[in-house]
Amino acid sequence: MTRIARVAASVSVLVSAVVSASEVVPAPTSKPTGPSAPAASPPALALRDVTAGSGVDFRGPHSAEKRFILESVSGGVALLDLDGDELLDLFLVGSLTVDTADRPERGRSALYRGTGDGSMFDDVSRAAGADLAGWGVGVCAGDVDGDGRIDLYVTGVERNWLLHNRSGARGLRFEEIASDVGVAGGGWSTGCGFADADGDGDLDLFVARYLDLRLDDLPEFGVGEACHYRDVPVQCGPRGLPGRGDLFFRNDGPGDGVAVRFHEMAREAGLDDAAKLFGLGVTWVDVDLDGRLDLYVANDTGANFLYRNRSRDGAPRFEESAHFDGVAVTEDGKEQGSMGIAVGDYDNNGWPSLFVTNFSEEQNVLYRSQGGDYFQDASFSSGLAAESLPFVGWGTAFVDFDNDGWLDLVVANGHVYPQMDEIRLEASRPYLQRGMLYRNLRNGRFEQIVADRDSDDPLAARRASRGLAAGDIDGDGRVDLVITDLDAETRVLRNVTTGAGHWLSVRLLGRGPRRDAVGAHLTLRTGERRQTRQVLSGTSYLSQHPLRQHFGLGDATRVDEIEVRWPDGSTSSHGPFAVDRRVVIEQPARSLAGSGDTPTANDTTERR
Amino acid sequence: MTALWLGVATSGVALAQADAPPGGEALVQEIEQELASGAAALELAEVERAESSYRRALELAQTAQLEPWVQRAHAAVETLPASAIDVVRGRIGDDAPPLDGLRRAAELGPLARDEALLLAVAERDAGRLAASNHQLRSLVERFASTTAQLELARNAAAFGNRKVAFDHARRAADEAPYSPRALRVFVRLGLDAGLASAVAPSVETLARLEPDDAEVAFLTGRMWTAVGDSGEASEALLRATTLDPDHVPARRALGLALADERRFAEARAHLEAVRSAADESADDLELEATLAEVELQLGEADAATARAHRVLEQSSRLPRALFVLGLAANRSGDFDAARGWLERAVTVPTAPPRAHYQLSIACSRLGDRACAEEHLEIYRRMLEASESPLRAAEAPTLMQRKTPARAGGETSDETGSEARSDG
Repeated sequence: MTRIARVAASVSVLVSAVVSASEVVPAPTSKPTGPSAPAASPPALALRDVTAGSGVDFRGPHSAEKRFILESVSGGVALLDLDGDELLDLFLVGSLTVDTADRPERGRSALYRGTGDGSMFDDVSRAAGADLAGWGVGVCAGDVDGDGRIDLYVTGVERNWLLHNRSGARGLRFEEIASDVGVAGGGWSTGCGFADADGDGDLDLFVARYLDLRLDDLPEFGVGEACHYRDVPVQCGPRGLPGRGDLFFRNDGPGDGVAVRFHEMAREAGLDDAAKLFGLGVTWVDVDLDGRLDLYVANDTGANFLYRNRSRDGAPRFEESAHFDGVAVTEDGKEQGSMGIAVGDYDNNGWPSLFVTNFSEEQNVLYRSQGGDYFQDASFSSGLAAESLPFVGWGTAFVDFDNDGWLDLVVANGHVYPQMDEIRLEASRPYLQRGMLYRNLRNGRFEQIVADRDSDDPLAARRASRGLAAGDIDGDGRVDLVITDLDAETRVLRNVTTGAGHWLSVRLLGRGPRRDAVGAHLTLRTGERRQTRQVLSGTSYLSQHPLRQHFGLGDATRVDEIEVRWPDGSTSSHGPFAVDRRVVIEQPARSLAGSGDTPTANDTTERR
Repeated sequence: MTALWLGVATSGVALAQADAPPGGEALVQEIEQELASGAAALELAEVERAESSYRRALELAQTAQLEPWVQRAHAAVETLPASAIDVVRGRIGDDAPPLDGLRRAAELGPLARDEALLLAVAERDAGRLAASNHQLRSLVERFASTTAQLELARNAAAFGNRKVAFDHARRAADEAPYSPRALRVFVRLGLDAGLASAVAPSVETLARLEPDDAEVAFLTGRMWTAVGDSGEASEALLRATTLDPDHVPARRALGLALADERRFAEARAHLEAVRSAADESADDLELEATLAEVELQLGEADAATARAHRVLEQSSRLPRALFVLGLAANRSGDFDAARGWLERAVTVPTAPPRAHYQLSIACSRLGDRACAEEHLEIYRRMLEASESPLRAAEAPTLMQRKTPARAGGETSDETGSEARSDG
């Protein structure tokens, strides 16, 4: 697609959103792949590595021995539409090693513009001002100033960056404003996420931090108790090293000459992590569907946090309740080395469940929501735990790969110690590990799709994977993946599942300053079946999935209704929709704050 | 090095030298001259199978500071022949004086080493433990006898005095730090006494000396189990069962370790194999309770709860069985029942932290915040306590970990492993 065509497409989308609360947007390169008839057997989930020719050329930081824990943790990836052209763009966080720490230009981040054609992406890093130099770690997204453009927040080892989106007719443009607006932070930051935590209408920001380390005073490799694994000298930590508390930046709206100002108030909000656990993955998610986003933090080598949102009258207040809610540790009370988080209503019970990836010899954990009040550890009963024990899991996502209406699951794996190859321990796999793809069996259980090592399944390749983001890059209605790997190139994995079901992709446009609709809750109904999604910032491992929500529909040829609960608490109903297409739903002017007549898309359209 | 060995060596060397190839001493000298190497001497000593040559090899290896050879030579000296008592019995044979004769001789004055040891064993066999200990202590005093120390340990263990047994075994191990025989006894008694950390360095030494011995692998697995590292434990125990597929205690321990490691399907295979191997296995309540937990985690809740109930009919306070029922009830949403089972579980002194954790959840669901917070706090304190010993600086290298001991392992009856005692 030419630049002019891209701009035209972008304008077209914006116009359609303005004139209609619910509008079909033809997928630019969409070739709907819905089945002509119901499949007798489940489709064969399949991915193909299309990195070569995708336009993406980005390598994760390389250090052969990983002598310092700093070198094992980075890998953020964001896959989302940053310029409003309905094509997914790709941001990759640049990182360094201890050897290159004094040469920040060696760790430049990269921005790839989605092209919508066969080449998939164009590197626009420099022109867009997104080629951050320094030791980056993770990334999350949200519209911090309500200008309708999605901004990027990038965490780093020494400081963080806020890439303010200034994109327009001249293409993708970003301006780094973290220090100006008060979110530069400091200290080794990892996962992050935006949410309107206090309900005042703008996005606040949570940033997890990991260890309290100084680059000029790093613990020596292999020296001391915290620097051995199975008797083999390895990088030190995290256990035995000092942790760092977390950060919460409240959005104070526009400031003196700047679009937005933040101030840090983790302690006042109850989000400071006084125990200084080793925070990694972060996601905001409304676990109890009370309309307020709660916060879940995956802690390495410690209990995870679930902060229930108790904010009132614009004052952010949170209560940590993970143990009582059953999501802090395993059901037998074991604290694990948690890394990444997936959120999904995998059993279509209407409530978001949590999946957490963990260190080797620890199982990945599925916390099944029991109606918002609490969770149940369904790790083993779901079939997700036993096979995960040898792996160190990182990026992860619930994704309906075959569009059957049930969320499948993907996990990126890779150990932290290259020295694992010296350790003959059956329970732990070597340093480089394969990924895992699970099919949802629609009965609460999952089945791993195991490919031969020699097959061309990219998840069978052994890597030290970290970040993972999932989205329909090529617009064919099947969700693709981007996975970052240490010591190797970032991979673009195209979903080539054959016989996939029908689908619908939904982008929400909120009113006023909440155009990104972060925190919105969607319920899609086809006949008697319902699926739910939430528009979330953060998730996976230090990564960001698209804000656009993808629904697999199986053999359904019509979506009867989509109900939206908007971030401001109002609700609206839309539909019906034809399938195999992208739609944009704009928040109606008269959406309802409470019960009563819920406006429908047609109502709203007619009134317009 | 024990004085007893000097006495036994007289006949031992003679026997060994009878089978030695001719010219061994000349070869020793030749190699000494050419290599001045403890390694070469040791190789030659192994050809000769003679204690004097091993001692010479040990001396050379020590001089050359060749630590691996020092250890091997030390071990060889200590294990040749395998059992001092066997040698004594074999040497004296039918000519041994009758027990009464030995007793009378002992009253007249100290017996020679062999005779004193023989009398001590005979007295123990006759149930006269005090008399046996008297002879053994005399041997220890007069000859610093490692064998006598080990026999004293055996006597103490036979009468259930684990601490005294362990003390004797520790002295024996101190005297003969590379003797597999002494180390085995020391390690076993240490594990029985719940002193896994104290014996960990000896386990490491033993594993180096006898890497292909199933019993040593079993002891290694027991040590890891005791310190809470089920991953290392299962590795060692798997090796033990590979080396000796009929090693039932090792297979049992492996099944328990795999269950703690959450490898439930594998755990089930080993535990059921143990059940089928022993008629009396139905009385192995710890195994049965573990099987119940395995069934619960594998989605067989009805079978799990039925089995747990059967276990509790025989032992109403077994924590693992109570935990299985509490967890199953929590899962099914019957929080009242869960609370009942788990409250019973936590009254048992050996109740694991996870019982308190699940109880806190049950209480939380029932709206009893005080109960929930109380047991959550207990759980947290237990977690911290279970980790602190491994964080101690004196923890041996073998136990260093990124991920130290995991709380939640059940107390199991590992002492059943004594069926494999080497006597």
